[in-house]
Amino acid sequence: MNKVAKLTMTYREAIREAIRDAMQKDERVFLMGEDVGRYGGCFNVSEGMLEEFGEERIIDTPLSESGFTGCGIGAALGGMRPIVEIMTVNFSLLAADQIINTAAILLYMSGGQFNVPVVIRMATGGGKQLAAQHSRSLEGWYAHIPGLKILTPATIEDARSMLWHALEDPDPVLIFENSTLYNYKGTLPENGAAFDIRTAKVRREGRDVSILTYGIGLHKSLEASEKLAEEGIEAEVVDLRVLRPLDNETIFSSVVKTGRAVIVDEGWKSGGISAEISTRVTEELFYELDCPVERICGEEVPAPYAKHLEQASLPNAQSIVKTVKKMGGIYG
Amino acid sequence: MNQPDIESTIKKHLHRVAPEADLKQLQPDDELGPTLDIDSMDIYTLMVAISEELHVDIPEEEYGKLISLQKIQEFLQQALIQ
Amino acid sequence: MGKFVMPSLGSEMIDAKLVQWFIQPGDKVNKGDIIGEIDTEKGLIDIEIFEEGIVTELIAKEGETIPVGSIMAIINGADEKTKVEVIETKQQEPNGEKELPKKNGKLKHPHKEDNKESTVKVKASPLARRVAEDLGVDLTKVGGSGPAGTIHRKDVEAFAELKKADETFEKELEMADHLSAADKKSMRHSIAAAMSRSNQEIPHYYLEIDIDMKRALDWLQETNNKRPVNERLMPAMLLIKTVANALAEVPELNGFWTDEAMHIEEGIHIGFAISLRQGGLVIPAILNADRKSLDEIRSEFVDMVTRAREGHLRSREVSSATITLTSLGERGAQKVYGVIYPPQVALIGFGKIMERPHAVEGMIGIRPVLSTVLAGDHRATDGHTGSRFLEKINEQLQHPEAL
Repeated sequence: MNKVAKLTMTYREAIREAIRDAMQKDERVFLMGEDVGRYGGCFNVSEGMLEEFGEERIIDTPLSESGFTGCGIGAALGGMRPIVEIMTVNFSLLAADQIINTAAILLYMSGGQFNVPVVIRMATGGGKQLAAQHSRSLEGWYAHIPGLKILTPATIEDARSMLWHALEDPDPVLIFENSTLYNYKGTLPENGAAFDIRTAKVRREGRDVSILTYGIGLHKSLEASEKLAEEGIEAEVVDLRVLRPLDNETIFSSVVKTGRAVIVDEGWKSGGISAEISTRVTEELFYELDCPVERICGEEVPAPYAKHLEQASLPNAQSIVKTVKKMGGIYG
Repeated sequence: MNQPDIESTIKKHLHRVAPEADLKQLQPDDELGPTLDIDSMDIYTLMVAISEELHVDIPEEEYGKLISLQKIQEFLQQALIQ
Repeated sequence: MGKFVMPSLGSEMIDAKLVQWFIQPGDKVNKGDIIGEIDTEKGLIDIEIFEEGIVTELIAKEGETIPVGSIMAIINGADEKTKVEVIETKQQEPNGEKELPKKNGKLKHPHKEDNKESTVKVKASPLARRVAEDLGVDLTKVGGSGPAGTIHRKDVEAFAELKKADETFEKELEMADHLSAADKKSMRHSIAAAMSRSNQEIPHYYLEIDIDMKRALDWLQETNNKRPVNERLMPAMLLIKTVANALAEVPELNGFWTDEAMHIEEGIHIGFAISLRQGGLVIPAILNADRKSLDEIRSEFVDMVTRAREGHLRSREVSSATITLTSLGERGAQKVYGVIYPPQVALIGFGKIMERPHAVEGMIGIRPVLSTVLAGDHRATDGHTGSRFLEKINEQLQHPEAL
């Protein structure tokens, strides 16, 4: 049972396996959140876990994000390793005070006495016709806050392996799972999951342009890079994986190599993580840039409900291809 | 443009490409290359200069035939009428 | 600070007479500028400068005969010039109406703006600028491929590569120092010395091939039909390009025999013999002909022939050929068995293109035939290499559209 039975699985299954694995390895680990028990999780992630681990470790909470997130922080201070599931990032706003005003700064406010080893998971992103209140990508917003670590798994391997490392971290870690990825299928590498919580990862090597992205943007970027390759443009796709702290080293070495940077992010441009990355690249690598940094981001509107409008408001492979092709000096 | 004018234009450019050649001795039907010891590059330079000055296009098929003063004159006269 | 010295245009050259300067102290010079004219065994040659800066002193006097390697002029380098400008600017600042606090990033000194006007504004990416600085490329000379002519890295690199290739001639100059110095300075003597030396030292071998020129000439005519007379191609241009391409495939023939060994050259510089009506001949070279298009070769060829006749060849053009091509055949000779120009190791002689019976696909037809003779240095290569080379030339001339 301890061994992973199948190597091909969905993103949802990968996270479930990660939670099960962690709970088996460490009895201090427990899962709490809305509908995680009897209902099996709003996105079906924790299905069957109540039966396996019992009510003590799979805890259904009242609909009060502020309350149960606070409980999770308290439990972490008390020596436990809680996994708090917030249904989506949209509802995390109700717990923002706990996350930002408590979890993120308690170590500092206590003069280094109290670490808060809580892991808070939540779904993020649009594209499922859930309308403006349920389709935000606010991970970049949380990346603004010192004291938090922000993880954005985009692959089966990361979904499977990130959680344990997050739990091992002595400080609060937020994991953002893009909701359109839950059904995405992939194969786990044989050697399992040796994932370092601090680094970005080059998913595709290329010499002409660096596409810097994370989460669902990775899949769109990889699709775009295949199309670009047909036209002789070799894009390097960097999966950021960690939005805070950003892995400058991996980002910079890729951009130094290609001389061009494009950031793909479903979040909004203004004050977003794309702005931060663009600025770092420009500050540090100005004389390495062969053309201006480009950004392909969500349109600055509340997410539309109508399918065609919602799709039009999000980056896609086509818009990435189009943007890259017009970058200065890209051909030849 | 009358015949003497055309002739003097040709000679002017001939003088430019082959300054040491004695053009007074040149007979109308003398072949330019061997007579003046000028090569295909000189002929080319000559043709370019003439065509530019007189605004006459020299078609490729005519080019090879223009080997003497007289042939060039005849061609230019014809071309200028048209 | 740079010293401009009398260049060596071949090992037979000991000195040359400075005919005239085209510059004066205080003038700004750029790389590639022609700064004077000298009288050599190769005729009047324009001398070029390969650094940029300000002329501070002219040491050589017009009419004077100057040994190779002697200082002719002093040029203040670009770096020092910049420093001078900066100092001047700083001195002007206190005279301004009000001294702006340094913290304010936007300094609005009218003087500064004025000074900047002297430099041309170039639109180039930051990376292109950095690369240009590293490679010593003047951005004002680079054509940009980006939107609104913006210069990108690849533009700078392509420019630098071509420039670098053009400048390898300096190395080749040193290589050429193997001929015994001729004691007399006329062009005739210079040729005599080189040719005697060649005949004594070089074991020549000769290979010849008859090339059916029908396709090449048809293609030439078809192409020329569409062009105005000043853009037409001549067989000689086609042959230069063909030889260059063939050398790219058979590089063993491209280079110099020096120090008892063959030195294959990277740059393919095709020297072509131009006979001068006043006697003698000059062999200017089209540099990097394999990398140039047929049209680039055409315009350089026309330009060089014209200048050769007028005595305005540049120093590098007469000293950098890695192989020589002669098409004396135009005068009527059917075949040319040439004498190699040392330290080169091959010479290609093209004869007159003549209508001759020629077997084509089992039939005798009357075809325009070009007799091509390769003279090879047997120390450097064997007949097998030469034969391969001639075959490459033949192949290319059967597909002129690909040139």
